[in-house]
Amino acid sequence: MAFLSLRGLRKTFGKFVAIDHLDLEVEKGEFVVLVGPSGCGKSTILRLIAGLEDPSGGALNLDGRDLSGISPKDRDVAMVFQSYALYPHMTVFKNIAFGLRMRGVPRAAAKKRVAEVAQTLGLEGLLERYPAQLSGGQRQRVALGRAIIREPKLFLLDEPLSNLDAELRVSMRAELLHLHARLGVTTVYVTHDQVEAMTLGDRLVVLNAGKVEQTGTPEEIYRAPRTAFVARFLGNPPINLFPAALRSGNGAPALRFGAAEVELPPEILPSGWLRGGPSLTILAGLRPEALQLVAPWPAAEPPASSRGPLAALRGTVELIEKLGKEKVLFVRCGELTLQALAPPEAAVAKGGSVELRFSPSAFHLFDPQSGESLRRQARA
Amino acid sequence: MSGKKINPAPYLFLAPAVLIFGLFVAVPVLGTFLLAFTDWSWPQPMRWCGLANFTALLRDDFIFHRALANNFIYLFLSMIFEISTALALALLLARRFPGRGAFRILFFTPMVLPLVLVGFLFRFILRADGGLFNAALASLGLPGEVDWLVDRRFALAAISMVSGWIYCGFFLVLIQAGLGRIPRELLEAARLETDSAWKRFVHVTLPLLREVLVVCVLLCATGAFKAFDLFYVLGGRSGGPGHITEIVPTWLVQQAFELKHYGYGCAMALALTIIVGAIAGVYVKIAMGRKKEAPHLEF
Repeated sequence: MAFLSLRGLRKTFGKFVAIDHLDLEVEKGEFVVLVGPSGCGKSTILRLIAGLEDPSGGALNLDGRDLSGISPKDRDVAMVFQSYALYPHMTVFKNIAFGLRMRGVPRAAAKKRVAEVAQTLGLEGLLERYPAQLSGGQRQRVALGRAIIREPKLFLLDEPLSNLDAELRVSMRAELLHLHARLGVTTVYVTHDQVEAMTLGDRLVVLNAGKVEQTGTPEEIYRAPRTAFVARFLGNPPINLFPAALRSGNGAPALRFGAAEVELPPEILPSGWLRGGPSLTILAGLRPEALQLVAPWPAAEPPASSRGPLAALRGTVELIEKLGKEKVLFVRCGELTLQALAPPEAAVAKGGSVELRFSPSAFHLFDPQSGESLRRQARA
Repeated sequence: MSGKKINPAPYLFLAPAVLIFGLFVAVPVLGTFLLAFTDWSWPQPMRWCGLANFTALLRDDFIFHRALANNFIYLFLSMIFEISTALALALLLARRFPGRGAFRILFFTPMVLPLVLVGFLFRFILRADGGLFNAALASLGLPGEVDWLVDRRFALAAISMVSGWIYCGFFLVLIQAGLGRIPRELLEAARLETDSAWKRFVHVTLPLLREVLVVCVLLCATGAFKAFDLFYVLGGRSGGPGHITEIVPTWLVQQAFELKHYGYGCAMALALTIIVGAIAGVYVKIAMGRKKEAPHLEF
């Protein structure tokens, strides 16, 4: 059995189903990120693991021990809350030592342990301050200190970086990774921020409406999203998703959308699709970075991962978002508006004509009803 | 001289409020202050007597001393019956259970009843002969026939309990508002550290309620020294036998409006104001001084 195991976990609030028969296994020392939009149930899962909510069904096991009926205190888990939940009337020292004091650890031993934790987190000079006298990053560290002081079996982190400014968030992400590498404590981390999820997690669990959409490494999930929801949720700028018809072109399978028709390589075709069979309406997806701008900017070499000849689409630039390191172009191609990335020096102007080239194997194909991927490798 | 014209509009707008305040607050306060230094007793003429009223009050008026002591006892008891009960009820009502809203309304209802009506109601309930309270005790097999409002041992406590019944709902609302301000995460973080609800209350909830409790104690203290109606109705016009339920306001009313010793009554009012002001000042200084040490207003 895995170190942390959630089997058929269910949580309802009245008629609202927050978690619907969720299965999840986390190995010892793993850093697993639960990611999903607001209200998808990710924080509820943490609260169920912590014992702050009682499950409506299913089983929870931590290190071979059934957690049902065990109080939050005895579960040997520590949680960092989104708001940090620091006690405003206690100094940093007392905040960090609180858990030990409540467990009856002698004052001298607690003091020694707090000093160690403060040194680990760079809080030595702040122990006599109150939370209101700390910056956001310092408060976050105190919250982490309170979590690590007990040396729990499991860390539960509920969007701990969401209250920090963008710059601090980046540095705290790195600090969290260092801390995890040093302590090696199994961690379940909740976020709605895809960048945070992709950069932190050994493994991602993408959630939607109380259900797991996909589990895997960040690369796996990004490369082969199992559902249109996952494809849309991960990636910034978001994937271009549009309806298309899959049919036999001139003998070869082809995808038709608007006025364009693109021949597809056989390895990405749905397994149920028959050559010469009826046309199939699907949802097609192309990542913005898969689209290469070739006019008027000088054509670039196709990326090494591209296979087969490149397909091309022509369109007009409707909008340009300048992000500094790159530009996001909104290109109108017939009835479609596609987002594509261009280098900052690309000489494109609003209203200008451009050509977008892409490898047909870059297509993601989804069932328009269920949203599930039709690509063979994604479903395998 | 500058030729700047003064705009009269703001002063005209303020004038009615200033006039009403002056007529009904400033003039009576000033009048009380000045009368406190006279020996005015109707129909005798008014004469300046300096601090004679205060000397008599502090040195010779044993009933005033008793009344002041009763006020402090009442303050102590009302803190138990009003604030402590309200705190306990607020913690109970913080839990989710059916009918929680109805209980809140029920506890607040006595606040909207006229005090005199409540007084007469409890006179009936607490009387020795045929009182409902004694009947209830008797039905439980406990000794009855106690005259709760006259018995030296119980009279102040009985009135304080009635006062608790009335004002508990008010403090309940304040404390519930304070509890509502405590972020849920703080209490949940504490649940991860200890199973003991008492420890969580002492280490987390109570310190975070401090500001609300400071206000509650302040209101309770000023209320205790301003009390009159309930004592007048339940304790009787003369503060009960041997002045056992005499408090400063009832003694003041008796002196000023029944015996017509206006000067002496005003001196008593001034002394009471100084005492209450001093207590409140010291209390707020202590309470707010601590707040400076722990700046925890930011949640």
